[in-house]
Amino acid sequence: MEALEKEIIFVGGKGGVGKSTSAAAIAMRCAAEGHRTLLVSTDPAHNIGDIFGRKLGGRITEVADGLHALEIDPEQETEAYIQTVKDNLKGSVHAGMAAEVNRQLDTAKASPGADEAALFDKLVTILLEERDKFGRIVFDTAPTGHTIRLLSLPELMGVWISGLLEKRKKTNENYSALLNDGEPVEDPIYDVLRERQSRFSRVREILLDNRKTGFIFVLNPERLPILETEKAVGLLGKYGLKVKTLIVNKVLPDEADGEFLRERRRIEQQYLSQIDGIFKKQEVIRVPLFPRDIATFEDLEAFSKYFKAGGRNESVRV
Amino acid sequence: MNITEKLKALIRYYEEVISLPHRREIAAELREEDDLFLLLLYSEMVGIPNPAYYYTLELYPYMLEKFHDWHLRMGMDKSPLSGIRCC
Repeated sequence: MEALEKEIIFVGGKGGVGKSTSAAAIAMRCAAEGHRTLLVSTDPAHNIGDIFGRKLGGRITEVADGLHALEIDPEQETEAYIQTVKDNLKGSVHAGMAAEVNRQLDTAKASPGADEAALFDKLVTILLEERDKFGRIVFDTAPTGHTIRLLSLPELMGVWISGLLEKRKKTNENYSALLNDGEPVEDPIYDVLRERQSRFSRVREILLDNRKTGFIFVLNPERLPILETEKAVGLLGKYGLKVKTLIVNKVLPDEADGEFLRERRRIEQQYLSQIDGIFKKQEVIRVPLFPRDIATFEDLEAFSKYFKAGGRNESVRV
Repeated sequence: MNITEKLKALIRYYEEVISLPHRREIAAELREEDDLFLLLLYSEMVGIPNPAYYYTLELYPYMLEKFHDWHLRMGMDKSPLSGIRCC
């Protein structure tokens, strides 16, 4: 699977198709190949901890040899962010007002978009700061809509902050030229905004870099997942993010028998050829439906074997 | 002092006299731009959605004083926004 060569891998897809399982299997495989790997869940309804059978609690935890996992906790991230704002405020607000201001900031935690922004901010931090420590970073994302939004944020926020920056810059320039004898003015606001903007643009660069970053979509050979994946691939394309790999999960294996399953498989064949038809530009990996839940390391390993063996127009055996 | 230097000094004085009222105007105009910036930054608090609201919170310490000047200038003793408390 081509995407396994990327330093940063995003795994997306409709709810319930097997994103977390696929992401965990991919991460395990990366770790098995000798890369220090970090598996990050950005889904507010986390599954990674459940797959590895332990609580992760918002911290990077080693779950196996060379494999680390993190479930981003938006609440915890917002808390930390507001705390830094409060710390910066010390000194600029007189003591009597401090309590009132802090109370005010606490209500901002519940503001719409705060969770999303906190999640996104952590993603940015990981992409910018954890990359030196890990050879591979695998993101298990939330269902499609959420992921598209998350991945389009660097552009959206970037535009907004650029607008603010430009305005600020013009005012500062005018001020220095007309009222300050050409002496540049010191403006902490400009500096803070600049830092934000530079973080966003660095992340955008990483996301858009085809050599470093790969996007994988997981789907099932069923009508709705195919439709949703098609839409998502198109939408991400608009933001310049190319999905190159698809994992078709839960394909009925050859040995599944019986009248009912035969009928089911006949219909599935149509969907499989439909997938091959729609996604001609993508690498399509097929993974069979397993007789049991993927719950152990052995299961994940068995699952990840298909990343190499599976492929277009091939039937699968468990 | 020869005649050209005298002339130059006269011109300098003239320019200063001319530009004095302009400086006031310019300062007022720049202040208005600052006010607009304040609105762009904290538009969320008056009901205009701002996608980057979360990130504007880190500017809070720097904006607090400017905001205080603003509402005094606008003739309000106390902060009119429940989202910003400066006095």
